[in-house]
Amino acid sequence: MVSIKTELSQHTFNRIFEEYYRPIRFFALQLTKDEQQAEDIASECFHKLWLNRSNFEDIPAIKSFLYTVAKNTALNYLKSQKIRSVAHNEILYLSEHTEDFILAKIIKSQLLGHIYEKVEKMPPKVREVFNLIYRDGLSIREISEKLCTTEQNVRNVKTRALNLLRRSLTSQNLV
Amino acid sequence: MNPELERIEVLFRSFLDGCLSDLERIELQSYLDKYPELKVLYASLNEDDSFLTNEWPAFMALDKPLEEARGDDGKRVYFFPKRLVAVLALFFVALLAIWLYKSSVKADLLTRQERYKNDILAGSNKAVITFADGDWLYVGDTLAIGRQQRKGGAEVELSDGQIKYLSLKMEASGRPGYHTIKTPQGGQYLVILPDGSSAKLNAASSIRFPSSFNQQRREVEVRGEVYFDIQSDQKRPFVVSLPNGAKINVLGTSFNVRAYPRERIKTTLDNGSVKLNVGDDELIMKSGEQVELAAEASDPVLLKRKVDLSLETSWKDGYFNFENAELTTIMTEIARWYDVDIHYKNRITEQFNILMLPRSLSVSKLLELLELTGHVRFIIEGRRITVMT
Repeated sequence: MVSIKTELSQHTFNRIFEEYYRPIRFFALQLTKDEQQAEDIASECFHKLWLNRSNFEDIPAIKSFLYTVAKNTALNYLKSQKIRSVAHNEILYLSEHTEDFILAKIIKSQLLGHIYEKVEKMPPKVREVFNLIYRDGLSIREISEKLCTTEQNVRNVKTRALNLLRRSLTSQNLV
Repeated sequence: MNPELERIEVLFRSFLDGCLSDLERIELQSYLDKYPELKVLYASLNEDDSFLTNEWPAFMALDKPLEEARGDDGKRVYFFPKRLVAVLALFFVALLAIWLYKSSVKADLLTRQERYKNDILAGSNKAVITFADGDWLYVGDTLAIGRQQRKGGAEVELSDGQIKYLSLKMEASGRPGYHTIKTPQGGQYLVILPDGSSAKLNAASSIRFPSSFNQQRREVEVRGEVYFDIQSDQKRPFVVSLPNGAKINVLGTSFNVRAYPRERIKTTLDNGSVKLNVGDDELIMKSGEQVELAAEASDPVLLKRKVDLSLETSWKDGYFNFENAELTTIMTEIARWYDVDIHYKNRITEQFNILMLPRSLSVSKLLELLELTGHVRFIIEGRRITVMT
């Protein structure tokens, strides 16, 4: 096997940052339950990636690096806490004793990243309604008042947004 | 980091996008069974939009300041001067024109890089195994299970690319259940039957046998292409049933059966001897002979001839061999092994010789060799291959 290692260009680095920053931050948030910590951990991951930019063969290797650094940094943060919550203890235990806990968290983070890319491609109005519903938790009524339109209209846009996202939601359940 | 991560992510993404194939669905299911946390995640994805309601606020939590850079009333603020917009528009029109021009250019003006948009890896070991009680298992490259297990009336041992049946159990009801091993397009698998005989399945093939297999008679049914190596046992004849109703009676020998839908059925004897029964016709085959049958039992054309064994059965050793073959024959084989769709732009009448070409080659390498003959050219786009002069 011949492996070719090329140094990441600034351009590629930016693209990777765009694609993985939010998933990594979300992943760290899942482990630390602390927004500020999650932000710091994500920044640190990309800082380390930049320092190691000549050491990667392909995107999966980079992804693996980012999540490994994020996991270790987050768990070290949890361990350094003198007083830990029950939730933190549970996270520490599951991370170190099961294979699938971290795996499922990574997949979830990546799927949200995937959804984010699709939301970014939505028409601006649709995206706005989508974020008002799911990010800000506003009701259909509140949105219709905010945007000066009918509730039916908001419902239609919501349906459109969900259709753009995943036609699959209910149509193909596994057993 | 878990080496299966990449594959699992791809499967979940396809699920979200609503483009999961039947086989991928089975593969995903096997990961869900293996990793309970994934099952929890999967369940949350299936509950209407609750996944978004629960996760999206956290995912976007720290993004709010960015959003506020857009105008107060939710409209985006544009900083581009009108002139720049006009220049950009012109640029895109030019791009579109170039693209339209390019797509109308004839294929023979395109370079190899333009025609081969991607490459496709060769097939690999994978199969779906169904047990007598209906329980099933997907086995593939990413799921290597190197241990014995008891499953639906059978004790089996799985190792890299093969399943070995150690023993079978009869159903309490007395009615025999069936064990089936089925390979998809782009798959192959080795089956060791309970009597020690082996059956190697080529792509898009299957073998089925009852849970009473090991008793008075050893009977199996096949579809597609299977290479058998039978353990001799005078007391328990080995019988292979073909899709057209023909039967092959074996004592101890090795032979290849090829019975794909809409193709003539070919039985090739490597060594030993077998008796072929089609309706009332009966025929003894000797080593190195091949018999061709029509796919319909009502019209059993029997054609016996001597063949070159190294050509006919070399697939099991990992080689393609086509001697004076029509291109369509070759492309059908490629479709099965690389799991691709073939489209013909032109009819190609020339015959081709491909001898001892490794089946492990990626599809572009194989097609490149065919192109060297100068009679044919290909375009690869995703899993679609277009054939033209």
